Amino acid sequence: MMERPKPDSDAALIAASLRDGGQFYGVFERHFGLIHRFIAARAGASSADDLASEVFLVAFRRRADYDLNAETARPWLLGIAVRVVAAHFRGQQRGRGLLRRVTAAHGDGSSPGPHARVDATTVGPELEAALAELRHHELEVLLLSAWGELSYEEIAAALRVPVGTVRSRLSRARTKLQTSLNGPSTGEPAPLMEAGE
Amino acid sequence: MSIDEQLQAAWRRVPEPSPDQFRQARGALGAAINSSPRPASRRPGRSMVLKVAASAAGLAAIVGLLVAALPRGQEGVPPASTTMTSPSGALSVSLLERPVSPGSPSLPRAVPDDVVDPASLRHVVTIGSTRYFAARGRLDGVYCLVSTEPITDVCGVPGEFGRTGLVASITPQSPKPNGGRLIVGLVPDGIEEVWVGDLRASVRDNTFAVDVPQVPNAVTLVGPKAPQVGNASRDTWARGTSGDGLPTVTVPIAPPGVVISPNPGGKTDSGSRIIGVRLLAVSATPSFTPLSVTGTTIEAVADPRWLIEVSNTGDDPLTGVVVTATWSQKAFGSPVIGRGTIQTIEPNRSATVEIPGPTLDRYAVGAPGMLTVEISPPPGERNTGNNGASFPLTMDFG
Repeated sequence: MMERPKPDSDAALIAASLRDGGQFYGVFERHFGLIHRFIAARAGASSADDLASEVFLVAFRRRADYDLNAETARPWLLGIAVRVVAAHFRGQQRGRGLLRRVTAAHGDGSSPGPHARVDATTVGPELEAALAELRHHELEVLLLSAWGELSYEEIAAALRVPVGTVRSRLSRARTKLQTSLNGPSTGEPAPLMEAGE
Repeated sequence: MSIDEQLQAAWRRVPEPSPDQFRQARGALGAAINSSPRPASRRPGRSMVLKVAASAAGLAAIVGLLVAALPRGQEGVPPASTTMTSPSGALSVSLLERPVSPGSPSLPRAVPDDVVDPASLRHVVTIGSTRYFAARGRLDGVYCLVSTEPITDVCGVPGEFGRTGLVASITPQSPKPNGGRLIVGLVPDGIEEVWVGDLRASVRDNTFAVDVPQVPNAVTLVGPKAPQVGNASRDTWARGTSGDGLPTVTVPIAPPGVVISPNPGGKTDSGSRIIGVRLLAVSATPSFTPLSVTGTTIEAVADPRWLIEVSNTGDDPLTGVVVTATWSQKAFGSPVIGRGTIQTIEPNRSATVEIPGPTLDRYAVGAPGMLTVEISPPPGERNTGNNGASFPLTMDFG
């Protein structure tokens, strides 16, 4: 059963914004800083303005779908941010593919460069290289945990996957990173299968 | 360094968005919000209402420009005195996010560009021969109302962290011969009606105009954002809940002694001379980070200090200008108060004073606090509405 949201909560603001869109400014003002930083760390400062803005436009359009049991909108907004950034990278990939075909047709053999998934200026080349070894969904879980400061349950809600899947992805991501950066871990081995997938 | 530590170190390097980036994104969201269907108009008794208690002088601190009387015709049932909630987030004036409409009346002849950004001026209403404009203030997060004939500017912060919660004001030196007065003012987004006694005025483009028989001592704002107009950090803002469960807040809107004057903001005639000071900017050392009334995060250091710039907007040199900086944080009961004195400020010039902030043992790292800066009014100054401001501030490692 859904309880009435606390008056100051994001849930209350979002519920009120269904009657009066201006209430949504409150959600924006609370979370824009985090969302902008999260995106800047992923896609770079030059893309962060547009993408962070896009996150809140998407959120405003979809506010009727918000689970009012969730007092804070942070997981929801970070989930949207993850998808907006993914769409941004897919667009870049398509652009690179087109560039590759064009340059190939003109005899230019230059490489389009690695598939950027985190901003190199933020994490540095070593960590960027290690993060690039992760699978996409492992990276998302790791960054939502480390940068978004979400719990397993919140990550699961943000990505719409079971909590067990979050645990296994996070474990695998850490193991891979440990190996890439420092050599094999002496800790517990990562699960062999992803729960819930 | 562990993986988590490396990720955290990387995260700390990611800068906060600038006020311009914030404003730009907010504007884009505002366009989407403004194009969404508006809610149906609410009866005041059923709305979230902000009851603003105001002294006669303080009323204008909310908003007003008092000028000629207008015909009446805005009567109705006064809203119930009710409502409250905890504020969340600074409010804004969406009007200023929109482009200037073509055919907008010409700008004032002499824009007080030390106070307002002339490029942001938006015409809001013309009454008689007087035109009114809204504009962004030079101080981040501040909005101003500018009138012509005479050129007058009044500024304030329409958010929870402001001194008034609304936009600052001017009070008439004397009423019109028939005793009637017109209040014109700016209100934050999400306010739909303004009640003065039993008179009601609708808000359009963040602006209202209401004719009143005399200066009232209370103004009631009605609208879905009314609960957010307030200042949670100030005990003086009484809070409660109405009978039907809606939140209420009663806010003193200006310090005593504010007098509305037709002189340019912050100045007051004293005989034939003008006397006035204005808070121009506040920054924190050692990073020299400008503080914003909408909130700032700075690096936690052992002995932060505040750099406070004050301008002399009057005709004569000022001496011994006392500036007070008060740091308060919920985790600590008593505030940390620092004072500094500026020996001399020449007319139309500014000077900066450095005041010590809290030492590391007097503030909580990573927790929000509030820095309130006040300039003691020089003798003879009557409009003190721009002598101070409050700055939400977090000091954090990073």
